[in-house]
Parts: sequence; C-alpha cells; structure tokens
Amino acid sequence: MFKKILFATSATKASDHAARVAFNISNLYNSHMNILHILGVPSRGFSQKVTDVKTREKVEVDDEYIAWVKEEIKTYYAELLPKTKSYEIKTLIGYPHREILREIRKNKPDLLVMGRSTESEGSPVYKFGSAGSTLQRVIKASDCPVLLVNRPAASFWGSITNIVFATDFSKSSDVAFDFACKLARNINCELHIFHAQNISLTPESEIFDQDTIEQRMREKLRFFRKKYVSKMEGIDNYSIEVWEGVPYIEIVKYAREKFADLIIMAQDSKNPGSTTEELGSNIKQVILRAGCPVLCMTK
Amino acid sequence: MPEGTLCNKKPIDSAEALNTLLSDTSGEVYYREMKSIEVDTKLLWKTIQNTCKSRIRTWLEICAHCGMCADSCFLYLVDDHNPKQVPAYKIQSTLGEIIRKKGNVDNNFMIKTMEIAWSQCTCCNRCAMYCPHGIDVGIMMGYLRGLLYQQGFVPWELKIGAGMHRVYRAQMDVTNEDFVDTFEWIVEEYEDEYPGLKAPVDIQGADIMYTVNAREVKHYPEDLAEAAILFHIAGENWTVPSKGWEQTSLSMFAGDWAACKMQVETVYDAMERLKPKIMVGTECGHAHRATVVEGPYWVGRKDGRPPVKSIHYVEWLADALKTGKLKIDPAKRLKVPVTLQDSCNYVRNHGLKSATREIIKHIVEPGYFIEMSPNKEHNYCCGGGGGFNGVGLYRPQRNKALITKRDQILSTGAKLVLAPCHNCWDAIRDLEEEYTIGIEWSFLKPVIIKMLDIPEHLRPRE
Repeated sequence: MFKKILFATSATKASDHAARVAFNISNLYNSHMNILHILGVPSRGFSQKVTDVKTREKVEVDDEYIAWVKEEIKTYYAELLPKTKSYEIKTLIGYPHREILREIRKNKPDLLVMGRSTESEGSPVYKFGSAGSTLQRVIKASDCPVLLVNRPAASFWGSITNIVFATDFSKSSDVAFDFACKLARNINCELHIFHAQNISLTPESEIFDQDTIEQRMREKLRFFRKKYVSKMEGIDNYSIEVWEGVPYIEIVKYAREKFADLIIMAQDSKNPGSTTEELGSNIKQVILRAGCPVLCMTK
Repeated sequence: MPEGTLCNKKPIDSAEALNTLLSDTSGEVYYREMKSIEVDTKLLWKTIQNTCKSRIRTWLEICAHCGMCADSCFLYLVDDHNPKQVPAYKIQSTLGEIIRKKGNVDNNFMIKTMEIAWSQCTCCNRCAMYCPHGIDVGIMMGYLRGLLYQQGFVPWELKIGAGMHRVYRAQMDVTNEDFVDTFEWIVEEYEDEYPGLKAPVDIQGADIMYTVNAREVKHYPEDLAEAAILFHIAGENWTVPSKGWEQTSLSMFAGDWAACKMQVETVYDAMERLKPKIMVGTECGHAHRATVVEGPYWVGRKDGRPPVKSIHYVEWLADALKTGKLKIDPAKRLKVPVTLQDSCNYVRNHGLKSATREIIKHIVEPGYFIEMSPNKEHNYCCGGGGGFNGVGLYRPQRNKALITKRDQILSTGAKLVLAPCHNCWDAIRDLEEEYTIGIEWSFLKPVIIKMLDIPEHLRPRE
C-alpha cells in the first residue's frame, strides 16, 4: 500500500511532526522513503543564484553546496533515519509546489507526506506574484494521496486502527472513499464514515428549524447506506454517522471520539486546479485542528 | 594566443562544456582567467571593418557631445548624475575608442568596456528618443557586445546563456522532449476545471502558433496552462511547435551573433513547417525583439519580417477582448490601485503601447488605473533589462538601478504592477525583495483568467 513514500520537507521545525509520521509509516510498512528538499527558489532572471530556503541567503548552487545541504538533512534527521530501511535524499531547485508535483509525476509515490507551511512562505522569495501556499498548490494538483501532519498530537502514530472518512458527496469524495476502503481492507481496521450537515450561520447559509435539520440528516443517512455500504465488501467493522454543526469542528470532534488514527477527506474546493483560490476552508481547518494526520485526495 | 580553459574566445558548443562552465561557482575561475586573455586585435579590427556599417559610423561621427542624452538615461539619473554615465560618453569611450585605435586595445581596456556594456546600459534605447540626431546608443551597445563576446569578454552567466541556446536551442537546459512533456502535463492538471482543454502540439495550418520562454517550462509551467486556457476559452485554433518553441534569446544579450541566428532559425523553421496563420509569443519583451523585430535581419530575410505575421501576446489579448472572444465579468475587474510596466522591447521599440492600454480598459475598474510617470514609449527600463538581471558580477549596480522603477511605482500609489514581460516581472519581483515596498506584481494571464466570463458550454459540469 505504501511502498514508496515521498516526504517533502523543509528540514525545519515546520516538518518535524510530519517527519515522525513519515518515518513511522516507512518503518511499519517497509516503505522506501524519498526525502525531498527544495533547497532554493530560483531568482533573478537567468542568474545561477538561488535563495536558500533555510538560511535565506543568496547562494550559487554547486555540487559542494548540494553535498553540504544533504549532510545537514542527514544530521537533522539522525534519530529518525534508522527507522527506515531504504531511503534517498534528493535536493531540487525551483518553486516548491511545482517541483514536488514534478517529482510525484516522475516517481509515482504511493503517498506524499508534508508538514505545515514554513513561516518564511509569506516572504517575497516564495511569492509567485499572488498568494497561495505550497501546501494548497500541491494538494490541489497532486496525483497521489497527500498526508498532512500539522499538530504535535497528530504525530504520535502507531499503526492505523481507526479511519474516519469525512465526505461532502463530491466527485473527489468518491475517489477518497475508494482509497479509504482499500486501506481499511488492506490493514484490516475500522472505517467510520461521516458527514457533517452544515448549519453554521454564515450570511449565505439558510436557517433551518431543528425538525428540518433532523429530517435532512435522516435522509442523508439513508443516502449514505445506499451510496457507500454496497461498495464496502470485506469491511466488517464500520460505522456511519451524520451530525449537524460547523463541518470542520464536527469532523475533528468525531475523529477524536472514534480515536481516529487517520482522517481521509477529499479536497473540497470547487476550483480544484486553481493556484490562486484558497483551499476549501473545511479541509484547511481540519488539517490545522485534527489530532491525527489528515489524508487529502484530489484525484 | 593565451586563452583560459573556461574564459576564451570559443563559444560553448556541448552540454559537457556547459556543465564545466556551470560548475565554476560564480565564475570565479572564469573571471580570474579573463584578466590574462589576450585581445586578438587583428580579428577585432577586421570584424569592425566587415560589420560596422554606415549607420553606426555616422552616429559615432555626428554625435555633437551636446549631452541631451544624459537626462534620458535612468542609469545616469540613479547614479547621481555621474558624467561617466552619459550615454554619449559611454559609447564614445568604448566603441568609439576601439574604432579610433583601429582595434589596438588591451585586456584592461576590454574588461572595463565589458563593465560599461553590461552594467551601464540595458539597451533600453530611451536615449535615442531624446537625441537631436536620433543616435541610438542602445543599438551601438548591442553591437559592442558582439565585439566583446567574440574576444571572450562577456559576463559568465551570459556565456552560459548563449551556450544554452547553442546546445539546447533554449535559454535553459530544457529539451524539446521536456517542453512537450511539461506542456502536456500542465494542461492535464487543469483539464478538469476547463473541460475540453487540450495541448495541441505540431498541428499543421493552425491559426496561431504559440511560442514561449524556457523559464516558463522550467520553473512556472502554470504560465503554459494559462495560455492554453485563454486560447481555449477564446475558441482559437492554435498549436505549439515541438521544436522551435523557444522565443527568447539570451544570445542577443550576450552578443553571440551566431547563436542569435541559430536560435531564431528554429522558430522560423517551425513556422515554415507548421504554416500557421500567425505566431503569438508569450508575455516577454526581449523574446519579441529577438524573434519579431531583429531576428529577420539576423537570418537575412529581405523583407525584414518573420516568415509569418508575428505578434506579441498583448496584441492577441487586446484583440480577443475587443472582439469579445474573451469576455470579462465586470464585477470581477481589478479594484485595487493598478499600474502598468511598459516594456522597452515592445512598447518603445515596437509601438505596442495602445494594446496594453486596451487590455487595461477591460480589466481594471475605471478610476483604479494609474499611469507611471513617465510612461508608454517614454517609460524607464525596469532596471534589469538587456541581461542586467542575471549577471552576478554586477548585482550591486543592478540593485541600485532598480531604485528608478521603485520610485516610479511608489509615486503611483499602486498596489499591483502589471508586468507583461519576463524581464520586467523579474526586476519588479527583485525590487520587492530588495526594498520591500508592499506591492504585488503579475503577468496578465493569471489576472485575466480570474475575471473571465466563461461561456456556459466551457464550464465544468457539477
């Protein structure tokens, strides 16, 4: 299932929690680990200079510099490296999101693991004229599942025993569902299918009375059973629930209640390929708040 | 004739030689060797006799040293009115001197000349507009660069850049296969969002053949996707060539005349092969100058034009907006203070000032567009033109040069600078990094995509 993991790292604190999870998976599933570090952003026309993402200095990248960076990464992950049987460290130059996507396309990993955005991402060094973090851009266009680890709580990972699959019934949710089932069958764990009915009182949302809300929830539950259960052959332990509330809060709460080791979601932006639109706010908030890693699927 | 191992008169002609030169960090050895290479004075004088024609000779002769060009040069202004930055002085003390001495100049002179040719002139040609005789120092500097290149006195990055064109027919190590592969990949990435979006490669007889800048392929292929999206929505019948797709020419900046010819020939060959109605080039200034304005003369085309009608991206865009091929949702027009960077290479030197302003009319809410001062054909260079952006040796001078553009932008009060030129885009990005004035900058494509009114049948189905 996870034969090849791509761990995209800034080799800074921002990737620490993700690193722990990435090495754990590699250890548990005997995965080959490809540690990818985008060491610099190209700058200044056709100049050979790049801005080093860690030191923020302008450097000229040569073999010696690359060797030094690789050595730094090895030192940074010295405690974790023994957990994996096979790994390689690769450094590239470019805009991080694009190079990560290029790497996914080239080497077709089974899973991409990433941490949170580095603090320096707001600086002009990374700016591509308009907003949008590396994370957002990668999730939107990635061909492989992306595992995000933001909070320290999320990084204490044993094996997977409980998966929460949160759906918004979109087309990409179907893809995420197939992956969740495949994973549940493969590692024989419990699958919890969940939908949160949005009743948050934003200016656009309608206000329903409680009877209507509960009526809708019953309908959704029926729809759930029809849509999903027929495809869940071989998965004995599962539960299905619909709650009402602010979706991301309910997803995080539900995952906590189910002792979830993993939340699987589809990225829910209506505009999946765009590099400038924000990621769907739900998935962004779930990533920020969840107590376990969040696996995002787009395709 | 003493020659360096890296710094010499021989052009780069293999990937191996390119890598060797690239591995010399910052050109350290290269510039050390440069100090001892010998000038082939005979060759220099012979070349001048063969190539320095009446226009340049006349210009050098009739210059009245009146100094009217001084205030036209942004590098003179930004350098505290340093008399050594007066355009007439810069060319008389270099090219003028070489000709007066019949090529008998030494290494020391050539190194100083190199500095003037690449760090004191961006070939923006603004001075020509203010000279009572119409003398164009930018053109003469371009010619001088050719002489310097021939003798091995060229900044390290530009020797590499010209070498890239010789080896890859692109300004970076992007092969034809890389280009097609990246183009198809990036279109694939966007096809869910734009149903029917295609990556048409090598289509014969298309209405439009689109050419690009290798940097788009290498570092931000989003630009290729954006071009594809806009052509698609506009309903154009278009294609890209699998060979001859690179429109730029660092060899022009380097003064490598032979490489200039080699590069532009691949684009013209693509035109002959695919026979499109027109060629549209990407949002790049010098690429337009190289392929559309100067290129025909490099390859000796008698009519002074490329094999098919060739236009700049802003011309296509202005027309698409004007004719309604592309429709803007008026509610989504830009409502932040916006200014526009006029690129020297296609505004001053090719008269396209009204095309960009036609675009502005459609995409900026009335009242939000502020012209820079000066503007249009009188606009100053971004500060990084003519190769200045990429040369590490002259970085401090380049950073100082950016101050002109910084102050021009600041006095508009704009928060967004539209820069439909790669060089300008880079310079403005760099000035934000260097001086942090809190601006955004953008090409036109991404801005327009966000505000398009997409016809029903081209929208994604829910």
